[in-house]
Amino acid sequence: MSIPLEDPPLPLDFLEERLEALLEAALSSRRTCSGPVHQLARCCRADQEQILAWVEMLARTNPELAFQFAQHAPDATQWLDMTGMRQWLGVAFDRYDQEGLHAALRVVKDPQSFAQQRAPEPGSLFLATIVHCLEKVLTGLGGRPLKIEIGEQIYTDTETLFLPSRLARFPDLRQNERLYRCVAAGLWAQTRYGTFFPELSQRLSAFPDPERAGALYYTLENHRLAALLRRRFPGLGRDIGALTRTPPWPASWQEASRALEEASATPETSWRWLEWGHAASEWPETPWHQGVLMMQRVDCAMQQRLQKQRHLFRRMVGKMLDKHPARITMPGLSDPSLLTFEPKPDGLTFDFNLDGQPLTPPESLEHLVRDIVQDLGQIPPEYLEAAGPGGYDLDADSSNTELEVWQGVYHEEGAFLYDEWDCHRQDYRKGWCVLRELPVTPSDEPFVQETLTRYAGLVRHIRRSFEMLRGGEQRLKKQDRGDEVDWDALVEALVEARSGGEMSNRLFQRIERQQRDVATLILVDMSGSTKGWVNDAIRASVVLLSTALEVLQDRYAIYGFSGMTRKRCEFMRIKPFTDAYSVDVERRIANIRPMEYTRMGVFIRHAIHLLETVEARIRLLIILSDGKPEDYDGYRGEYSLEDTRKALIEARQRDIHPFCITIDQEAQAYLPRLYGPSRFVVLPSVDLLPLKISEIYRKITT
Amino acid sequence: MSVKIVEPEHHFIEEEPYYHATGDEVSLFTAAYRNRLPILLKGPTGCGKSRFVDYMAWRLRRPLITVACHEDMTATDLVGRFLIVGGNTVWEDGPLARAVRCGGLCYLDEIVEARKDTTVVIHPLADDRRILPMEKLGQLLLAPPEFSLIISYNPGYQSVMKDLKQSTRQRFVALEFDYPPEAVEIDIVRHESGVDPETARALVTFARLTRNLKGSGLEEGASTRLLVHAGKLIQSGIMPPSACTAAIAQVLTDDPEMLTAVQALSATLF
Repeated sequence: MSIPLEDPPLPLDFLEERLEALLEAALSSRRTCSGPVHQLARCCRADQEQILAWVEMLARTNPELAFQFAQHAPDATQWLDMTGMRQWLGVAFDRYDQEGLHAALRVVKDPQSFAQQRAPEPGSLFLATIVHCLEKVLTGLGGRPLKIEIGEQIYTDTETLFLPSRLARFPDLRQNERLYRCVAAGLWAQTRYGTFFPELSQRLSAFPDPERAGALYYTLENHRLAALLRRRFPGLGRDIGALTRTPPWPASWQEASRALEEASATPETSWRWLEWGHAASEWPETPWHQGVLMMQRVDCAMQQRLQKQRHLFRRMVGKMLDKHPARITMPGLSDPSLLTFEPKPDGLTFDFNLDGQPLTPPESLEHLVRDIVQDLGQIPPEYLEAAGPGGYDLDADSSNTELEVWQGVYHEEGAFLYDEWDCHRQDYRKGWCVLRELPVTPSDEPFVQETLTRYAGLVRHIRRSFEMLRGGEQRLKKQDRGDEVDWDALVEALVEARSGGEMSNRLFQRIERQQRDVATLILVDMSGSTKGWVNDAIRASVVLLSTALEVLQDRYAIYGFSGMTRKRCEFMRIKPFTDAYSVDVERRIANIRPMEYTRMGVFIRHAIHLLETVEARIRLLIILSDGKPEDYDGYRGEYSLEDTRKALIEARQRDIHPFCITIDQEAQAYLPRLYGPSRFVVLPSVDLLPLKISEIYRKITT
Repeated sequence: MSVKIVEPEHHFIEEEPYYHATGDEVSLFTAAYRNRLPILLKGPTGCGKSRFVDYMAWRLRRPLITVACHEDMTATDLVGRFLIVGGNTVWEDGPLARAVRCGGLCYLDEIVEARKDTTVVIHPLADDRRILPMEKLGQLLLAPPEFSLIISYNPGYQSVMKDLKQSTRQRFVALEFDYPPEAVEIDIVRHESGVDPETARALVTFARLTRNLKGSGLEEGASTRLLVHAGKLIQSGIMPPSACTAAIAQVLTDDPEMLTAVQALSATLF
C-alpha cells in the first residue's frame, strides 16, 4: 500500500522567478523580492500556490499592494486558515475600493490584528453580514430612512447610524444579532423621537461646559427613550433588558428617572432635568450600547438637511399648487392658512388641505413632510410663504439641474450606484459604478426622414410583414371549454362514440385574442468607436426598428450608453417606455453620437432596473454594439467580459432575455460565452445592420 | 360531514357579518343602490372590501353572487353558454345572468384580472340601460331594480397591463378602501380572532411596521386579513412569534433577507 505524500514545496529559484515576474512594477534596484521569496519558501506547497495566485490577482489591481501581501501572507498563515486568508484579502480589497491604497496597506501589513478581530470569540458577528436586514428593520420601524455604517464609536449623525464592525459580547451568534438590533433601535429612537431638535446645540452652548452638558442630556434622553421603547416595542424592550446592563442611577437622580420613564416625557423633560442636575456632584452613566453624542456631526448633517428640505418643500408645494385650479381664483398665495396639514394619529403622516378642501399630495411630498416634522416637530409657517412673485418655485435659485450636478463636484448626488463583478476576486465591487440618466439633446438634422425615404421599400415591407404579426384574434377549436359548440368536433366525437370509442370532451371553440405582451429595451452603443458609417448605420437601424415596433405595438424604450471610468457612466435617454414615439424622439435619434467608452456591465444592470419596472410576459434587452466592452480605467479584456457576462446572468435570473446584435467581426470569439450559443447575431458588414435588424427582431419575438 | 349546497340565487347572507364602518361607505353604497348605480370598490388586498359587500348584501337582503375574475375568464363565463346534455344543447346562465334574473348583487372581485374584452360585457348593465344582451340566445335581460353590480380592484397592483379602462370606470360610483384606522383595526382583529386587546394592538402595530416596508422590498404590507389569521392561530395556543411568522411573514415574502427583517420586526413586539 502506498501512502500519498504531500507535494514538496516549490523550489526557491522558481518562487523568485515567479514573484519577480508578478511584482516587477513594484521592484527597484533597492527593493528586490528576496524578502517575500524567503518568507514564502517556509510555507507548504498548497499555501504557496494559493498565495501566488492571490499575488497575481492583487498585482492586477495594484503592484504595491501585491508586494506587501506577498511579504505578509506567509506570516498570516500562522493565524489564519485559508477561509480567514480569503476574508483578510477581501477586507483589503474593500478598503482599496473605498478608501484607497494606504487604507488597504494598513490591512495587508497587519494580518495579526485582523486575525484577532476575526474570530477571537465564538459567536462573533460581523455587521456586514446583517446590515441589509438591519436597514430593513429600521425602515419598518418607520420615519426617515437611515443608513448604517461601520464606526469606531456607536453614534448617529441623524442620517447614518454608526455601529461596531463586529459584536462578540455573547457566545451565541443569535444573541449578538439581537444585540445589534437593540443598539440600532436605540439610535433610531433618538432620530425618531426628537432627541436632536434644531436649537439643541445652541441651547447647550449656554452651559459653562457645553460638552459635559451634552453628555448628560444624552444620558437623560436615552433613559427616556429606553422606557419609550419598552412601552411601544415590548419584545425589543425585553431584549434590551436581557442583553444589556444599565448601571443603576444615583439616589439623587431617582426622581428624574421616574419622570423620564413616564409616557408623557419629551425631550423637554430631559432638558428640565439637565438644568436641574448639571451642577450635581454625581451623574448617571450612559451604558456603552447607547453610544455617544457627536454634536458637531449632528449639527452638520441637520443643517444641510434642513436647508435642502426647506428648498425642496417650497418647490414641491409650488408645483402642486400650480396644478391645482384653486390657484387661479385665490389671491395672496403667501397666506399660509390656505395650505394646512392635519396630523394623522401616527404623528408623522398628514392630511393635506388647501383652503379647507382635501388634497392628495404626491408620495414624495408626503415623505418630505414626514422628514421635516421628524426634525422640527411641525411645518414652520415660513416654509409656506411664497418666495415673491415667482411663487413657491425656487427653481431659479437652484443650479442643480441634472447636467450641472453631473458635471459638478457632487456628481454622485441622485445618481445610480451599481456593483461591478471583479472576476479576479470572484466578488462584487460594491457601489462601484456611478451612473446617471441624461437626456439626448434633440437635433434638427432631418436624419429620420432621410432614412425613411432611403429605405422606403424596406419600410413598406416591414409595415406589411409586422402587421401580420400584430396580436390578432384566433379561433381555438376542439377546446374543453369555449364560447360556442365546435360542431365539427361534435360530429367527430359522436361518430367516435357510435363506433364504440370514447367520446371526447373537447367539443368547444372559442376566440382568443393573441396578445403580444412584449416589452423591449434597445440599448445603443454610443462609444467613440461608432464613428462615421457605423454611427449612421446604428441610427438608421434604430429608426427602422422603431418603425417595426410601432407597427407591432410592442412597448419599447431606446437608450444610448457611453462613459469614461466607473465614476461617469452615462445612460442617454432617447425614448423611455412611458414616452410615445414622436418628433422629439426622432430628433433625439438623429443626435445619437459617438461619445466615449463602453463599460457594459453597469449599463446592462441599469437596463435590468428599467425593464423590471415594466410588466410584460416577455421582457427583452437588445444591445446594439460594435465591439468588446472597454473603458479607460482598466475595464478591458477578461475583466470586462466577465463583468458583462455576470450582468447578463443577472438579467436572465430576472426573466429578462438579453440579445446582442453586433458588427464586431471578432465577436464570435467572445459572444457565445456572454450570450449563450444562440442569443446574438454578428453581421458581416455594417450596411447590413439597417436591412436586417427588424427581421432579427421578428425572429427573436415570434 | 355534510356539505351545504346553495344555488347562487338563494345565497342570502342570513347572519349579520361583522363589519366596522370607517366612513360613510354604508350610506354611500345604500344611496347608490337605491339609485341603481353600479359600485366600484378599490383598495389594497385584505382591507375589507369583500366583507363590506357581504355586509351590504345582508343589509339589503339580496342574494349575493360573487365571481373571482381571472385572466382566462371569457364573456361567456359571465353571461352563459350552451352545454350538451344527453345529445341536446342546453343553455346555462352564467353568474351575471343569474344575478340579473334574481335581482341579486353581482360582485366581480378583482375585475382587472379579467381581460379587457371580457369586462366590456358589463357596460350595458352598468349604465342607465341596465340590460344584459344574451347574444347567443338572441335575448335581452332587463335588470330589475333590486339588481346591483359591484366590482373591485386593487390599485396597488395596477400595472400597464391591468388597468381599468376609462369607459368601464366611468360608469361606477367609486368607494375607496384602505386599512382601517389603528383603533378600528385593533377592534376588528380582536373581534374576528378573539385575541385580547393587548395582543390585537401588538398585531396591528406589527402590520403598520410591515406597511412601512412597502416599496422597500415588500409589494404590500400585512393586511387586516392576515392579522386576523395570526390572531386566530394565537387563540389556538400558538406562540405569537410563530403565529406571526406563519400567518404574516412567510405569506408576505419569500426573500430570505426580507423574511428575517419581518421576523425581527415581529420580535420587537412579541
